[in-house]
Amino acid sequence: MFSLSNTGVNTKKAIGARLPYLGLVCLVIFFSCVFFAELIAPYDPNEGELLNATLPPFWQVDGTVEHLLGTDMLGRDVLSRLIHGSRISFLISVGCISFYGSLGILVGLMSGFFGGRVDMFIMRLTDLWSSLPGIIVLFMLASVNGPSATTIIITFGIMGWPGYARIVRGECLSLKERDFVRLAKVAGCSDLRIMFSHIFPNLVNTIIIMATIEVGGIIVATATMSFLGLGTQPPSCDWGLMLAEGRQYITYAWWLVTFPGIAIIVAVLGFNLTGDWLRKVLDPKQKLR
Amino acid sequence: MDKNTTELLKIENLQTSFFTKKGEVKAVDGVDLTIESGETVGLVGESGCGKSTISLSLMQVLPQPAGKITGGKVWFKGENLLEKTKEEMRRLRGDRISMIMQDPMVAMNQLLKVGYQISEVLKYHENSSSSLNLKDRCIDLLKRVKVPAPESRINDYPFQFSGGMSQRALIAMGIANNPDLLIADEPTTALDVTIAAQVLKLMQEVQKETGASIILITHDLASIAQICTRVVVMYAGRVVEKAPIKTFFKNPAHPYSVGLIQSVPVLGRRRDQLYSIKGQPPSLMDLPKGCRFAPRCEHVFDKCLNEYPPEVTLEDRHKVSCWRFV
Amino acid sequence: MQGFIFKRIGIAIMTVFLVLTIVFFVFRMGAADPVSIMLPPDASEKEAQMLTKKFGLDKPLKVQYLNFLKNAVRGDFGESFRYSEPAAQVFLARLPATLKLAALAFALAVVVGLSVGILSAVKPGSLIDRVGRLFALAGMSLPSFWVGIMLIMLFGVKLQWLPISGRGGFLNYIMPVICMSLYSIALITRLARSSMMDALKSDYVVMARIKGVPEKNVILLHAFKNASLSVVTVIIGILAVMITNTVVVEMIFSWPGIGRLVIESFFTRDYPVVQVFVIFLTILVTTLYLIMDIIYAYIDPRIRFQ
Repeated sequence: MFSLSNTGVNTKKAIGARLPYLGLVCLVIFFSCVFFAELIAPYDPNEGELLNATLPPFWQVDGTVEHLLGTDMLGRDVLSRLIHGSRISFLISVGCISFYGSLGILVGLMSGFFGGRVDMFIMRLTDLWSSLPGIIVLFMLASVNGPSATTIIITFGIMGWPGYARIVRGECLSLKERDFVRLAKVAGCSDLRIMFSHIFPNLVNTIIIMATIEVGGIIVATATMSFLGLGTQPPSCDWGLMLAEGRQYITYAWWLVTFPGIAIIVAVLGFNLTGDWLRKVLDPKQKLR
Repeated sequence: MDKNTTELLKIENLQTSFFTKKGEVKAVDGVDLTIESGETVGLVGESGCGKSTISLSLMQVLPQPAGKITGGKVWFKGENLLEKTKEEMRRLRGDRISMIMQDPMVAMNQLLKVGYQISEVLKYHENSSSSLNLKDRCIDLLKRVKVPAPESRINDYPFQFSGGMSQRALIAMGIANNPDLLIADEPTTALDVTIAAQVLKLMQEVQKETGASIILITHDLASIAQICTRVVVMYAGRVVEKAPIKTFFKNPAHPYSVGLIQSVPVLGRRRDQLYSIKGQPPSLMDLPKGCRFAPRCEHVFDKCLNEYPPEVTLEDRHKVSCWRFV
Repeated sequence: MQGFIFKRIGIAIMTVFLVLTIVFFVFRMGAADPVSIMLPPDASEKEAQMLTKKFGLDKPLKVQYLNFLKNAVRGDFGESFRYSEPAAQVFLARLPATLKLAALAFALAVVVGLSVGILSAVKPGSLIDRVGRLFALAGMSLPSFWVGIMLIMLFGVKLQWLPISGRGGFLNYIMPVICMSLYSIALITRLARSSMMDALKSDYVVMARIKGVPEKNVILLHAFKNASLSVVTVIIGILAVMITNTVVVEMIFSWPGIGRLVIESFFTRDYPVVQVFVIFLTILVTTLYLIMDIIYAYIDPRIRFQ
């Protein structure tokens, strides 16, 4: 009853309104690091001189302009390691999302499209699955496979699909009732064809939004796992691992634990803010939350 | 206020806007309206013309923070409602003024028992000196609106009620405290035709019993013809014509009213002759300078486009805002 | 209603059974061969055979699996390699420390999250709404282990106001609890705000106001009851988040709970203890979900009368 639909306002005008400037700046920084790490980073991330070990950032008394954000206990340049670390975060995120995204989309499409018993079974399984804490799976996998980036990707892959499946199913259920799908059915298209060439293209928005929003969470989770020693192993320049290594020197080398955290925040803020904005623009009805 | 002492509600130059991100939407823009005790007035117009906003404004339950009353006065029994405090308004709502909402399925809280939702109207207004307890009064109310087996139905949840029964329960809430003014906002739109007729009949009976004034908001002229004594026609946030029911159907003055009546399908007339008003109503954010109906009007002339027409009295109680009659 | 609860209990039992099975195969088939772990490198063939026999590893897989299930029901998950005590016992000894921490953090998250979320939904754009939203964004974006380290650096090392590790008095709880609840507070605030705003916009809330229901009841009964459906879901989800956080927080603050135990056990390849952790958490989480389902049915009659 409060619909203002007759006001003749073009909703497209609202899109340009409030761009997530902070988020976009963060993303630009993040992706520059990912794609141009060799060009930007002043040093090799894995080579250091012990002579230059634990130098503070340049503005402090012992700091030098040659190592802007200081060096770690092996004399490696912190800035260069942070820049290269963005790649690990990015690759792991892409790996996770493409793994469980495709799994979730497939399961969700099947559930929503076929309905009935298939749907019942899949939804029960989804409920059951999402009630398991991810760290359990990580422990089990890590004890078989050993801690590594692959272990993280597989863990998230196994744990993450129910979220996608649920949303895709919901969308699929409503799309199924739309005329163009019914027409396709009448025209004799096969189920597979309807699913992938009629329904799937309509899900692309939803999938992009979800992926953007989830990258932030995955970056934090990856860093957390590496911090615990369950993820990437030394001498990787994973931000979580850098934090874990720096933790022992917390009393006198504050920069070793501060900057990796800030790097994580920049990346996460970038994806979270942009994701929220995308959701507002592409999903005005706020079905996804 | 001078000539009639039985005046119950007098709205003077009411202006209500919704302030959205895209700008101000003038949903109600200078409406004058008088309701007398005991009469049933039909308020008609296209959706989005401000009918519902008027009722939400006078009850002061506009959606927040977007909705705001930007001007005017609302006299109810000689007092200006817009000067009342929140608590005074709360006491009036559901007691002296009540309202039946459009879709009973969403107007009822799905998680609370129907009986409880009815009892709320009684509980928060301590004026009725009935000796019965709350539960019996709820059963009594459901009986009055002809819900079968009310003793067990009060313990049901809304999803266990059919559409027609839910609407009856809403009417029960509306009449619980014998209000002076009952606003029915499209009470039959969400219902089947046969059930809609029953609900209208019920409202008529209720009015006979309680003597309340009723404002029936609708776009359905048939239900207006069935129970109203007077019609008020709105277009794009303004009242364009007020007339007694017979005059309205026999002698509509405003071109928009004429269009409305012509667009009602009549049995026996061929379908391709069904009349429809050309064009779209104007955007409420960007209103034309002159008459708001001018762009769609068949009789438009220069003056219509430049200046809003004043209200002209054609005969007793028949008023119209159109340059053709000045 | 009863049928509904039984069905849910059935699902919960199935989940636990499923996890037990996965645990068995992962640890038995995977890297966790107890013989190779426990045996010194220079051990003889005979000693190896003895150990194999002791763990029942010479029996067929089916028998091993059944034995495992039988023992699991009795709460016997074998002996910890490191402590030479039953693994379950080692685990249970460390549990109270974790539960105290988690309970405090959970209570803080629910109280702060709900009140900030509801208040900002009632007055969108107000100071509390803006601060709450900023805080929620921060809580979602800051990794909690980093916040923990920063807290230690500021209040522990620099200002020396708070102890940086171990259990003890009230002061020991402050930093771990903040670190553990930060993300959860943000999540609850965000969800409580959005679902309350949806509820406050709905027709039944307008209807309640039209009936003259006092605003306090409109918000706390009509709107909140509907909003609580999604809030309950997220609150249970938060308990799962807390479990992950326990491990992190206990590592950072040297808290002698199960989180640190499991990490230490993992790196010393003390798999029986890791197994207990995994199974215990599964039971805990499935029980919580069961409780959530029952609460849900209690709030929403549509589920109850299905």
